[in-house]
Amino acid sequence: MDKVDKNKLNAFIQFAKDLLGDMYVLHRYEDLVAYECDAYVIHKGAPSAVVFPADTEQTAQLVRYLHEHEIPFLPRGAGTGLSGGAIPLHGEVIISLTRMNKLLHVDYLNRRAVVQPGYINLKLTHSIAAKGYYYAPDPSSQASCTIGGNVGENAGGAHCLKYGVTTNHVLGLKLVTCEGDVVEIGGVPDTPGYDLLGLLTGSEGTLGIVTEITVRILKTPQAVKTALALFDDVEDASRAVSDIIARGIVPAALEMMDKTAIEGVENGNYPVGYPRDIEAVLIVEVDGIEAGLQEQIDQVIEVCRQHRVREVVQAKNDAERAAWWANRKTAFGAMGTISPDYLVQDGVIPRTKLPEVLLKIRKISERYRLRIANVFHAGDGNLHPLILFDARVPGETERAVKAGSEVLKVCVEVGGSITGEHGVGIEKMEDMRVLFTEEEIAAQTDIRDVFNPRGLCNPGKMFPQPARCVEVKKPASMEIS
Amino acid sequence: MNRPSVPEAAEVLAEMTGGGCVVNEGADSSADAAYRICSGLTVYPRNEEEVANVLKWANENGYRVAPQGGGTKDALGQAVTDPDLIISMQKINGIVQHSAGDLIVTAYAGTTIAQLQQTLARAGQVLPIDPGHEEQTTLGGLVAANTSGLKRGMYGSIRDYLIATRVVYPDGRRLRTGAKVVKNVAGYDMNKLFVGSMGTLGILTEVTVKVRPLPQSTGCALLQADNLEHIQKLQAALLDTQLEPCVFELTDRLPDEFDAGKAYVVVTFEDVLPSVRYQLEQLRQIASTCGVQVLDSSDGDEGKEMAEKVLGAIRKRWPTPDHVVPASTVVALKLSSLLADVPALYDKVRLAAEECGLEATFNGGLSSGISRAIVTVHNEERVGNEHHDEALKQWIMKTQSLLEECGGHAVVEFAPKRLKSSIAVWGKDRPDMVLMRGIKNKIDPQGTLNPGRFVGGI
Ligand SMILES: Cc1cc2nc3c(=O)[nH]c(=O)nc-3n(C[C@H](O)[C@H](O)[C@H](O)COP(=O)(O)OP(=O)(O)OC[C@H]3O[C@@H](n4cnc5c(N)ncnc54)[C@H](O)[C@@H]3O)c2cc1C
Repeated sequence: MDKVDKNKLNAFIQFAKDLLGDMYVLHRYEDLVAYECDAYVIHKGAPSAVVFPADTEQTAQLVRYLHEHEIPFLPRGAGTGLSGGAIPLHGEVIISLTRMNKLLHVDYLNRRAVVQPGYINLKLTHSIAAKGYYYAPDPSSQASCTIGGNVGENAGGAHCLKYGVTTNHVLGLKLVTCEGDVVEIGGVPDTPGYDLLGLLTGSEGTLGIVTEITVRILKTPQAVKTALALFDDVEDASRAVSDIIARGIVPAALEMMDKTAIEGVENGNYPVGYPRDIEAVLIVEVDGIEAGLQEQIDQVIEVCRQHRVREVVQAKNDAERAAWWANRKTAFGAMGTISPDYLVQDGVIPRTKLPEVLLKIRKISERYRLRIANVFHAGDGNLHPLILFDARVPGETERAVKAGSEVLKVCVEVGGSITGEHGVGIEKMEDMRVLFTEEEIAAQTDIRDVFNPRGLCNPGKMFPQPARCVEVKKPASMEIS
Repeated sequence: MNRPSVPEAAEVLAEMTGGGCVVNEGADSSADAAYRICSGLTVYPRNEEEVANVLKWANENGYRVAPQGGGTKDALGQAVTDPDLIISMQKINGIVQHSAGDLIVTAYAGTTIAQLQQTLARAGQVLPIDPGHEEQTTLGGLVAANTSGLKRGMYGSIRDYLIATRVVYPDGRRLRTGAKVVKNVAGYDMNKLFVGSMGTLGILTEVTVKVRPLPQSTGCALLQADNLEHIQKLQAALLDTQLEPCVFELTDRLPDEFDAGKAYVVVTFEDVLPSVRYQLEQLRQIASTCGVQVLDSSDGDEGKEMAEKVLGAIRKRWPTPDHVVPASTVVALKLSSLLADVPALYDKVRLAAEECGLEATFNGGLSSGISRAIVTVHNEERVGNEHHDEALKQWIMKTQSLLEECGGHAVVEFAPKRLKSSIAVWGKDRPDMVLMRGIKNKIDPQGTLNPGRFVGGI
């Protein structure tokens, strides 16, 4: 796809300035640099302009103009996406939703809240916590990512094991279609018709722009109990995971980190003081009604003991639990302390295949001569192998990318998927072929063509293309959390 | 196009399916015929390949197809004309794989829910969806009709459990959607496309769902209130606590031994025993502050028995063609609303029926927002079946506008064909209809699958 024509672009910039005011339109090179990539830093592309609408109507007017003049565009939230979904590879105009950052309405009795797309995930929980409510999906990036971006990626988080991912919590959407029409989708459960809500959630900004989101809010659980288990053997830890599930316990969270990851987090901003020679740590949390909950965490501890745990303790108080979580939730960023660069991978496997897959990842690590740290939502089999590399060493970036793809192949071989929560974006377009046949991919692009007939809304993402017009650029190390 | 005759079709289709093609002779005049999909031919493919061959043949030869599971939802949809062909999924049944350690099960689409639950129960697991009529309801049908039951408030619906499918498109393409893992965002969530799609896009042949461990214990409480304000109070109070009701249902009747002609609330809890006991106790206290009386409650084995008896009785009220008695007409509406509107709807929908000279039964999910209202009229011989049709239509339309007024909707889930031709079964068209039509035209451009049965004439 060609870059946007200069005259066309200038006319748009004028239109946008008239509509939004000068300060809400960026178009000078130095202002655009910050929008060249999201948290996936291997590819970059400069946008033609960045515009900041204040509401649905302005968004619709912008999109209508862009559609009529055939200028490609894409929606962007906080830009924390890890697969490049918000990167303007073809000079797209970026429609940033960050000005639309309000909580519009909370309806406690009906257990729902209406937010604008640029509203930060964690802010929702903070705003309703005083009344004893919270918003369940909790990506580790929740202090900075937007709920619009969460809908874009169908984001998950540590507590999604029990409570489900974003799609299980979205009740309604206001959508600006790729042609600039405004439609309301869903609202109350089982709206007659096809489940467009389900299709839109996780569509990575390729089916239109979400400008309002109605989400389910939940009552904060009465009690929470958390156990921390240190293992000398990853395999023992993996078996403990399977056994906890086999006992009929549904933990709220079941997280695991391996030795390399522990080295990173212990060097990071929130060290817990894990012994440096342990091979794996498990965090297991159960929540719900207080009565009977201690027995459940006791069972968890008992299972860990049956699997040769070195040490297992229960959080004494909220502060201790918070410290464990702060350490875990900043794991990605902490890798920056032990490696100049790293690539966050995201694959899913049936959780019973954990030991087998971890072994294979170790082999890949050896073969590519790159360290791989494993941080994962073990309870739902969602792995995040972090591939450590040094971009200054010629060829290492490419090797890291290849090692990542091999990890994904392993996931698919055991019946899994190439992404559990970070999305396809640019990063995994080619890997889609590992999971789906050409026909199955075509069935999906057919759906895209219904919503996005001119292909102007976030083009060239999610699905493999015959030719790639992307140059691999030198990545900067990520600075997150 | 030279459209093959029915005998010609029968021959070809029998060939394709090892003799699994039945010619349905003559018009059916039994009581349930008005609620059934009627067609000259029924084909029973034995596997996915046969489904693909039959469907492709139909698509190429202008034969309109109605896919069918257990037939419990035959009466759902805007039946415009009878299809030329029913593709029954009954022979494609059984568990493909139950991976207990992964809490995942894959089953063929024709597997009944009862059969599925039996397999899961052996490993102490369950698909926590209770559509009713489980001996007949198939897994594929459950997905396609998006059926849910009384436990929805706690556990959600099939869209929250569906992770992968195999599906056959009208042109015979055989595709997979999703992956057999509990978390997956590779590409669009194509599973969702088929949830509630009423067999208008493709025929599901295999379904993979997440499952849960069976709850260790069940508690059940029956509550009774003299007026709706008390129920509203109870609803607001209970939903604002940290209690986790599994069922929280408002109903106008209970099994005879409990019934005294009032408004009732059924609450169940599913968790470990200490939690169930604690929650029952808390519920008693909340109820008393709201002026609601606890009639009975129990936990342990008794709690489970009581829950099954009471909930089973409610589910049995939801009609299927098999349950219509001769000389009667049954209409059932499924209502979706905000939670807080359920108690008011209880009154309004029943009152609307009274105003039409009818009597409606009602059950409504106080924590799910899904309610059902049902009218059964018995026709004296001399007036004939149609005698009450006008009143029934009036009631349906009144209820639909009641729901529209509060931002919800009412779908006619069950009604005889003669009634459906003059009402909007799915309610008013919505603005996103354009997108839905676009999807239908992409996947089924010939309109082979269930033409006209779904929203907006899809
Ligand atoms: C340190 C770190 C930890 C992370 N941890 C997790 C985790 O635990 N779980 C997880 O799931 N993810 C995680 N992520 C990834 C990321 O935070 C999520 O994908 C998040 O949902 C992205 O939100 P955003 O606002 O940054 O969206 P962006 O990155 O701006 O956009 C993401 C995609 O959504 C589209 N989009 C954005 N807004 C809209 C809209 N209004 N309408 C339509 N489409 C839109 C964009 O076009 C893009 O394709 C993590 C990222 C980082 C950097």
